[in-house]
Amino acid sequence: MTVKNRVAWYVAYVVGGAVLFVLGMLDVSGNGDQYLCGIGGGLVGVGAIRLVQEARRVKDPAYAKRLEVNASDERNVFVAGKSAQITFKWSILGLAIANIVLRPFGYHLVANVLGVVMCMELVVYWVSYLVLSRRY
Amino acid sequence: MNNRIAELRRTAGLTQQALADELGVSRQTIISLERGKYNPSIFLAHRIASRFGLAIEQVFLFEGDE
Repeated sequence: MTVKNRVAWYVAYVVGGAVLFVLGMLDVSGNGDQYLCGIGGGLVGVGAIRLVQEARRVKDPAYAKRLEVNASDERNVFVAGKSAQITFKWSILGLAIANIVLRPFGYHLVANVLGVVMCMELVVYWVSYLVLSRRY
Repeated sequence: MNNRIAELRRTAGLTQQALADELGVSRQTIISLERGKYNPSIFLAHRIASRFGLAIEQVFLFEGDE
């Protein structure tokens, strides 16, 4: 991704986050929760940090090189992939257990939502596996 | 997998950071390679062996069924 594209994305994070924050403060949902403020604040924070990082990347070639190496380093990529694999395994297990445990306590709606999320994760996994099996 | 990277690096008078810079990887990757905690891809293994002017099997020691 070029510098221009990255900056555009990070500016979008900041602007989008600010909009969500304001909507949260105006309580558009009407039920008083601050969820939108939290998401908006997070996006503004991430966007701002990324913009500062991008400015430093442009001014400091050694820093830019270090970032590039860390992003493409094969061990880092391997560790990230392994972490995603472990997260997927435990998330499926956690969702399945929660689905079973919540029902006797009467939380049927929550259990159904968790069950749907678990099924969607499995569908995405199977489709990804099929697509990647043909590609490699 | 055992390897001779640390030995070859010291003989060549290189620091871990210097070798990492030459290979285009992080210093942490070199550390993990030398400790045998991470097995490199065939491309990185080839670049490492080429850097020291050796064949891959002279740098990485295959033992039994790995």
